[in-house]
Amino acid sequence: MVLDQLYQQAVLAHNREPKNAFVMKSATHSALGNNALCGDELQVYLDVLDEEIKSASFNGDACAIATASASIMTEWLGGRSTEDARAGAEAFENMLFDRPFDRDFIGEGVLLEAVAAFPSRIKSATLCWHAMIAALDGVDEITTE
Amino acid sequence: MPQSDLHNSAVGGWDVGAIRSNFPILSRKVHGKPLVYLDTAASAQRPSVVIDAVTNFYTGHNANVHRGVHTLSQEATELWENARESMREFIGAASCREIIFTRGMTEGVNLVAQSFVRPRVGQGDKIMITAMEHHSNIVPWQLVCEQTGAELVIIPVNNRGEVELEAFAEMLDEQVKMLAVMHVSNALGSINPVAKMCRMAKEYNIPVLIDGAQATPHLQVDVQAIDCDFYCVSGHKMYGPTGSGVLYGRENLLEAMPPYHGGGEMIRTVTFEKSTWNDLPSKFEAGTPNIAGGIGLGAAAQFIQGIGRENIRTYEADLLNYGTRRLEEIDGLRIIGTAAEKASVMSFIIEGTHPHDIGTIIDHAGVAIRTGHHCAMPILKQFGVVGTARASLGMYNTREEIDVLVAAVEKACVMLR
Ligand SMILES: Cc1ncc(COP(=O)(O)O)c(C=O)c1O
Repeated sequence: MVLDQLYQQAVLAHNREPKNAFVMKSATHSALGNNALCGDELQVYLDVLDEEIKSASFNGDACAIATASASIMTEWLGGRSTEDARAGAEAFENMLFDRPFDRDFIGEGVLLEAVAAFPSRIKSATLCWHAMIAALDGVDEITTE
Repeated sequence: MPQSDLHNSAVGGWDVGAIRSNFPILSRKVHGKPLVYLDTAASAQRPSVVIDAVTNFYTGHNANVHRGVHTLSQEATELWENARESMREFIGAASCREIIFTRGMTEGVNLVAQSFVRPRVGQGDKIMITAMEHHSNIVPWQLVCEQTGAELVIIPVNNRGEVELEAFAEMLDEQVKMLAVMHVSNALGSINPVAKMCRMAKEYNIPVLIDGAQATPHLQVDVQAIDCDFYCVSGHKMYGPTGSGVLYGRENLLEAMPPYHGGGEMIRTVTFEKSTWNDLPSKFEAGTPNIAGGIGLGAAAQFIQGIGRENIRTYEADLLNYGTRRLEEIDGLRIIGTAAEKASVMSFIIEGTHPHDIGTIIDHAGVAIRTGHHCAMPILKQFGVVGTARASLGMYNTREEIDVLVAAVEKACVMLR
């Protein structure tokens, strides 16, 4: 059943013990992602040098889908170019809107593929990605409804 | 369990099976499970009499109102004005001139804010609301404050979700030019002592508007007994059509107010130099209204009265007690909003889980609840949460449905933790 795919163990594990869930004091870029409707709030931190994301972290209070997504994303971002990061955001969104995307490229992000069947939850899954792009663009806060 | 076994609870002669048979949608399935609709506070389901009233208007009498000499127009006008009379009786207003059809609660409060309050306030004046208001009873007043320089002041609410009446008494003074307060809270379920607050405000000649959106589906409402100046009713919360509602206003106040919207129907004469206004209530009903919606709303009021608001109140109070007790059995669950006087609403959070995940998971058990901030962000902030899961009751809900809710939430917790 799709619900079991949405809340599969691998996703729930990322929610229970998220990776990179801390306030990064040394961050060069940071932005708050705010899902006004459900109250999800995630601060995303990036340590960027010469267009390379050396590491990423996040902090906040959000649902399991948003938290797992942020955990997966921050793991994925470490060591990638900012160009790759933007491409990753696009590929992830394509996956959730049932458009063609590069499965190998987004790695563990495919764990959230089932979100595509839950239109009301897509914004939960994409919140961290939007915040990451905002951080790269020098925007402090983005709100999704 | 077969449907018939699920819904045979009868409390004190109340036959909930018979009530349910009025609501066609309740027999549908969601994800293969019988629908358990616990989101009446967001929007109630409609009984057949309301659906039929709307259909009957379109199939048999459709025409514009107050316009034509032809038969259909006269029939439409009669149905429309009969619906107004039903609403007058339903909320105990003295005259149909005091009943203005609106699109819902939100339009009513904006009308009063702009036509009544805005011309009467300025720098140094205060508009008073409670800390638990719905955004629709906050934002229109913030707009007036921006437009006039008046100040918005907030009556505190205690940690059970009750208005602090002592603080309220101390805040009252001649500078307060308007009090706006909700009758029943959609986020917490609190029933506010609105009649008492009106009496207290009256000592300072403060006009009072009451947001009755969550009251009319659950409580006996009598605007003359409450002695308020304005009362906003939302149609879709009281088993009526979406985009329908009424604003009650005291006749002398409505008389003195300028129109809110300009257009057809609300005028007596128009020249390019000057127009003159129609009588009440037409003065506030510019343009072609939601005729079918208003007629459906009148049917909803009659339907509720046919069942009896005392009966509804008694039944729902028992159900609310049962639901609260059952939910509290869930490990780590905290009810948000524990006022002594409550109606319909069980708002909760569960340690280690997020309301959104609970909502998504139990939807797959056929259970519809609301999750999020319920358009009441300030009061949730006071309780230290950004959102809750909210199960809200209507006359058609049953103890068996509460059991389905509790089992589904328990399962969701196991899954998430
Ligand atoms: C307490 C309260 N006030 C006002 C409203 C807004 O009512 P309407 O949808 O009729 O504008 C709602 C509904 O969300 C409500 O619950």
